[in-house]
Amino acid sequence: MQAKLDELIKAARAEIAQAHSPNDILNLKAQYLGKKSVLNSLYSELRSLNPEDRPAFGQKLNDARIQIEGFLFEQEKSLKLKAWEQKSQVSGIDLSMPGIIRQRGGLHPLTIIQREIEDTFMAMGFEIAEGFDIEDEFHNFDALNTPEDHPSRNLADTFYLDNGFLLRTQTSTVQVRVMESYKPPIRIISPGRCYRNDKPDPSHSPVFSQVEALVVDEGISLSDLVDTLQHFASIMFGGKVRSRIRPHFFPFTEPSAEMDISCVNCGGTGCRVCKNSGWLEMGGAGMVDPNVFQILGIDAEKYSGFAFGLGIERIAMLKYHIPDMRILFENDLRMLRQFS
Amino acid sequence: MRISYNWLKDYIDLDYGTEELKRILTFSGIEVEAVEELPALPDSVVSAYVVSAQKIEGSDHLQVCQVDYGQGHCQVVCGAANCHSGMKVVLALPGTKLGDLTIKEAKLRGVLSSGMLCSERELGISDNHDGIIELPPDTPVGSSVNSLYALPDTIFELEITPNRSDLLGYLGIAKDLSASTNKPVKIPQPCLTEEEEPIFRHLSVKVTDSRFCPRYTARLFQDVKIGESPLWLKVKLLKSGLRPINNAVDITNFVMLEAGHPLHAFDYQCVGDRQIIIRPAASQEQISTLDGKTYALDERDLVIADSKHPIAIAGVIGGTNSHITDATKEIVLEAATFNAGLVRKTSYTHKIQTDSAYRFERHLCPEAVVYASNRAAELFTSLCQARLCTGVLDDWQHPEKPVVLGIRPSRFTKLIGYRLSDEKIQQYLSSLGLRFIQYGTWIPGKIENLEQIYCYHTEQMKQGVTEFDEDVNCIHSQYYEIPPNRVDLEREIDLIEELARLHGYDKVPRKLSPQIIMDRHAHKTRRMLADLMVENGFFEIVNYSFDDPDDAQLLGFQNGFKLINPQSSQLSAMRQTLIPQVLKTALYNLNHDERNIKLFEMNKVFISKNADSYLEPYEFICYYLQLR
Repeated sequence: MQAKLDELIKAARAEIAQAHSPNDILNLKAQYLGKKSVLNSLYSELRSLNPEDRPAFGQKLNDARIQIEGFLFEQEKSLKLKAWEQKSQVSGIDLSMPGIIRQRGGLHPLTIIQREIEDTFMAMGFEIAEGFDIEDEFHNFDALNTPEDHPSRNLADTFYLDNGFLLRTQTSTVQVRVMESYKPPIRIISPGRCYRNDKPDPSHSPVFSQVEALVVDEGISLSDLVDTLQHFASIMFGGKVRSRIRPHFFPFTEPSAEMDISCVNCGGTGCRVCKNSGWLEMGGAGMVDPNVFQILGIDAEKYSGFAFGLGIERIAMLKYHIPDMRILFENDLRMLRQFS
Repeated sequence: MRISYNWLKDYIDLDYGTEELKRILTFSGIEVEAVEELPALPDSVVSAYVVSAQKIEGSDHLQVCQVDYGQGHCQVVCGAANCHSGMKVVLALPGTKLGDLTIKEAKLRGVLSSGMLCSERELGISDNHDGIIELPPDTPVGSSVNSLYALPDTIFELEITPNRSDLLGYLGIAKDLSASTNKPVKIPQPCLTEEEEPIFRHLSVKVTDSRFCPRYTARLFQDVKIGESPLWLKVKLLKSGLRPINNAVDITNFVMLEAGHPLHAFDYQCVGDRQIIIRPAASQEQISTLDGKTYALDERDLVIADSKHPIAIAGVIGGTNSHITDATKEIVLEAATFNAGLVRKTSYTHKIQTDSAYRFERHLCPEAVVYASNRAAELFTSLCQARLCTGVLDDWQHPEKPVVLGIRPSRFTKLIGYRLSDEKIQQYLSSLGLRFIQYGTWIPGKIENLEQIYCYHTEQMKQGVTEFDEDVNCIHSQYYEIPPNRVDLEREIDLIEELARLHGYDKVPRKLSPQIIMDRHAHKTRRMLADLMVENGFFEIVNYSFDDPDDAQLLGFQNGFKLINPQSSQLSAMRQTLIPQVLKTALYNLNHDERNIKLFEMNKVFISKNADSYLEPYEFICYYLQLR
């Protein structure tokens, strides 16, 4: 057996040295290492040996295999080198000259997510509307049917500016801005920053981003909302993700709902990310309250609409497994490079 | 298909200009591929009489003619072979402009010529330039040629969609225009005088397989006088792109153009054993046809044959062994329908394209043969002085039951986007020749048995329309019998299409799509700018929208917005520039041992204009630091 093996290695070395094309290499590889090779048949002979002799011989077989692989690799390398030299001689171009390394930069993860969201909705026929970060009480609260004494108007919740303006607490202000300027049918999203007087912690930030969606037309129903949400979830997180809405309260929608998607981490069976519920909260939604239409002079009998808001940071953290929201605003290049 | 406007006016009173009629045709679904104006001829083109014609010495073809044109005489040199004394011609006097050509007095071979005798091509009526026009002998001399040739005229080149076999003749076009313009259509009603002699004594017809030839009819004419057609008939054919041949053939062509149904005339004496058999050709059976070619047929071709030989390829072309000649005395007139697929295949296999095959391969209906046959019979008796034998040989095995279809007005509204009243629907569909039967509740598909329909009266319907609309099983519908020539109307949706077409696609209200709100240019520019930075190795950063007011002051910014309730003094002013935060981010990364720092931020800054107005423009700041 040992003799057989030595002979095999010798033959392989000789024949491989003769190979002069990548095709030859492939053929020889099949011949010496493939299923029908001699080497492979020797492996099956292992069974006929005494149990005590098996490990030693097995080791020899493996060594032989590695040796032959080495011959093949070396020959392939030298063939490639030869081909390259030939090429550079023919073309007169120095192929060994080092190139200029251009390092790509990267977009911020929040921008990446925002673009994905924008593209998803634009493909569904949505327009992108711009809003203001600095707003007045009318657009942020009054027009959105928020009562005078609503707690969200407090200094502890909302940032106010020295000239009487405030920083919007949600992108729903854009609903008002768009419906003031345009007649239905309307189909918009509006990504932008919102501000709430929360101390930064792993899941809060005084500055955060939302995407607001608003659809107003004849015959819009809650079922359009459910469909849009599912469509969005499928594109954003993959086809298997499910979505649902459950009752909630917002002053400017009636009926109001919270939107959930099935946990993208565990698929709905329950895990740390979804706190064992199987569901992840995506944001608030609902049918535009007739009062909002009335304030803006839109015929609430003729038109109906839905609106929802999604948190961009939350989606980014879910998609990229970012544990702490503050990381997003640190701008540490070690983090940013991961999105290159 | 070429349609002469003047001829079309024989069947429907139209006073539209060319452009308007073109628009009407186009919007009723009949595409106008080209419009050709045939202008009126100048007054200096008149009918004239050739008093004498003499060869000019030294020329092999030129003749000098003395011509009388009513108001005077002139001498014209003419080179046409058919020019002879005693003929009536069309004369263009000197000074006449015909297209690019201006007629002048000139000397040819030393002989003065003051005018020109015209060919059809010179008048723009056809491409024929073989000889000069010979007008009928009874044409008055010196009269305007315009009235003889019905000029000016407009020729519309129409594209008939393959589903509309009913539009393959002037009458079909007129009926469709009548439906879309609400003007009455005038259909000539043939008036026949049959002699006592019955046809069955002279001829028999047999169809071997009614699938290939659903209906075959034959009429027999005796004492036929073959000759030239009257000018009005020739002019009509010429304008439609056909060449006049003789009165018998011209009549079949005329009826084909008018009624849309091709006919064929055989010389009775050439029909062997007085039998007409419609059968598949035998393998390798030969026939010489009117296009001057000989075809070897096989079992997949259908032929019209006598007892021995084929005398025509069914629906495609006639054979030379039975065609009408000057000597023909008795004529068999064929009016039939053939299987459309069969005709198409034969026409395709043997590469024979004829006006007849063009029509038959689009599904003509068996009901239409009677009108075409009668109309031709009327013309044979009047124009060929023929005597019409009594009766028609008619082989029609399976008269089909008329199709009955329902249409839901509510369905129309759902599909097309606006309501049509019950009355309007009836008006449109009736004008297409559909017969209104009754109102009823909805049954899909073709109605086999009228008793299936739950019907109710108009009054009942008017009171209960909404009630009917609500209930799925009880939808208000109208029922119609489809005329046999509209083979394309098979389903409710076909009727809905007809209504939408007739009422006008331009009446369809635009359903508004969402408003365009987005500034696409700004959006695209921001993305491109960010991508450009990324390609060049920069990393995007984001910072809070508020910042330390002292930093802004160092850079010379005053009067920013201050927060009343900031979380700290370092976060107490809305940023007016991104510079301090970009620098701070660079410092942060420098402190974390970064040596190659390429950053950019593109975000809003907040600029106060005065007490109650502000701007939120985007600012774009890049930072690049490389340490060795």
